Amino acid sequence: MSADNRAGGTATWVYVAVAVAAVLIGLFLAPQAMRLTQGAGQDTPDSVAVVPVEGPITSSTADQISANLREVRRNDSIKAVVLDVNSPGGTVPASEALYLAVNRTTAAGIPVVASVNGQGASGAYWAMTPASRIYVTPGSIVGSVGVIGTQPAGGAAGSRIITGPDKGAGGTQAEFRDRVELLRRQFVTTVMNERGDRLELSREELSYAKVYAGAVAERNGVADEIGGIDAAIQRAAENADLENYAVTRMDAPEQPGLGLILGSQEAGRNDSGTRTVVVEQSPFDYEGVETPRYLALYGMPEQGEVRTDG
Amino acid sequence: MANLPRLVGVFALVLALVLVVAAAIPLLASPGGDANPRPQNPASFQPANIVPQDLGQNGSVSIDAGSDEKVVLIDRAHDNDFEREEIEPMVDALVAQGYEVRFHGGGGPGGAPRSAGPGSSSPLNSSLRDADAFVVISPDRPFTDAAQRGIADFAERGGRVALLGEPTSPSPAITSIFGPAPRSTATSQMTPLSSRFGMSLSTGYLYNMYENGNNFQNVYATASGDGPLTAGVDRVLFDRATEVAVGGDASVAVSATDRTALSTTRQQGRYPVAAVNDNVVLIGDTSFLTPANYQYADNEVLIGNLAEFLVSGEKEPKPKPTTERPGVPPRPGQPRPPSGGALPTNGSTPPTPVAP
Repeated sequence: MSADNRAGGTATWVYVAVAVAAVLIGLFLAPQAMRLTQGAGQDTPDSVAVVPVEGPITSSTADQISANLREVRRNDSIKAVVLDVNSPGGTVPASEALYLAVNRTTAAGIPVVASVNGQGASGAYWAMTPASRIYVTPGSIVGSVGVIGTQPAGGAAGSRIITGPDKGAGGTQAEFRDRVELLRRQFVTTVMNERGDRLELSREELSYAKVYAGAVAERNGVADEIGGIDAAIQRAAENADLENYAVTRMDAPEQPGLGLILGSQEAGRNDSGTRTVVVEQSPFDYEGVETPRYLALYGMPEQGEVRTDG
Repeated sequence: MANLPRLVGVFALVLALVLVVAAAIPLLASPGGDANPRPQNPASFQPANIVPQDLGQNGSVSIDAGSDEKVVLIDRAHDNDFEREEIEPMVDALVAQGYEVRFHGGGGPGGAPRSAGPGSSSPLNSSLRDADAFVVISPDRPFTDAAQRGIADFAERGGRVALLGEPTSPSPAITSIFGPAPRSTATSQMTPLSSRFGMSLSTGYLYNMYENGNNFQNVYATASGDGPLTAGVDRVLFDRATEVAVGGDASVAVSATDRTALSTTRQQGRYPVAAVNDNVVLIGDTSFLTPANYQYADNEVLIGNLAEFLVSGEKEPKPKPTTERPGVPPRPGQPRPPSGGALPTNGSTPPTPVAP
């Protein structure tokens, strides 16, 4: 009996010792196990995502880019973001929505760096201002901090009946002016707040809505550094403390009605070789209905009553 | 030793359990990032930071002048770039005070007769004969030499003349639905006339990036000196103004505020926007007359002053045309050209010496 007990007691003690040893070894190996599963569900352990911001910023393209940024925030393997920008801007609502999406990404603690490849003007510049660094090439174009308002002529004519004096145009000319001024202030205030001390331009100088070549922008603080997309990726990785990382390029936004846009571009090509940018196709265009528009765009619309501010 | 397999089994089981738990943690700990996004409130999206100030519109045009019968003639015969409703506040105030407002040319019931009887070769000059004041707004067609001399003579005899113009360069801030092309090609026809009185209009527009009426082209201006236009005027708002160059006997009446710049030179300064030379005023803006703008700042006071200026002149009757005018001896060896000669002449209005 006593021999059995002794044998059983010894066995229990040994079992406990073996289990404790297993736990200790397990804890030692746990980080490796965690890293294994971290990589298992995703392409790479750590990556820098390149999010293209290309073409005119419309509600459609802004939605697609915002979805990419949402994926960046959701995917833990993506540690940093590079905005690959080549856009003349677009509508004000789409641009400010895109700004909020980038702003939310930086607020989530994910480093964002912007790289301008070609032009990053007006609404595109607005959207990239939360980035910690803006990379430009000497010949790229940035800036154009201003807003264009286009408004149809108001009032009743012919057999049309409207229920109030401002139903057509949406308000008086003075109210239209004030609305555009509000948007200018929002844009300029955003740039001033986001760029802070790096910007060497005053509010008034910024409000001229000039575009700057990259080499000039780097000096006046509209951009930060001269460099291409690779320099921007490296900076983003450094900001995220990554030594080994992969680069994941997200899908570029698709322009809706591509055939229509290409057709318009061809039709809009004139002798001087300028190109027409289709910012937003109004859903009512086929009925000839003009709607007021507010554009954060580098370039002037061809038609419509226009008020610029800034 | 029979327990050895069991011990190994326990070891493996516990180790596996620990590693499985460890491996499961990252999978369980990724709840999908944006499930509870933090509300965003960037300062630049706060209405208090970005809503522009209300410019405020109040007041009405009042004219404090004598009750004499006066006729104000407004030019419509030189492709003048304005609609009648755009000058309604001033016209209404003049009419309400009992003054007569006529339009010269442009057709319609208010238009002046094309010809006013024998002895008159210029419809404008015959219209001026019955008028006490003459207003020219943004002419796109040049005044003939005879008409210019007629207007100069009119002012010389005490008739009041108001010249109002706009920048001729296309406005970047507002373009019409048909684009700025027709306007941009039109050259100002004001300066050849106004330069007779020592004043001229610039072609560029004024803008102010620092202090403006909610658009860089809406510039504020303040009164200078004690001229007829400035009584009670503290600050006026011009929607689309241009610089008035002042020389000779003319003096500045209204100047744009500090740091206003001219579009053509981009230089900042205190640009004159209105000037007076005896019986003639030149104002480099027409927008302040419009129903949409006349109540901003002290615009209605400026309109009232302008109207008072127009109706407070004392015009002398026109002297009978003679072959030799008193005070203007004919130059020896230079006879006056016959009527219908190479130089355009005004049969009823003798030539007037050109003012500096």
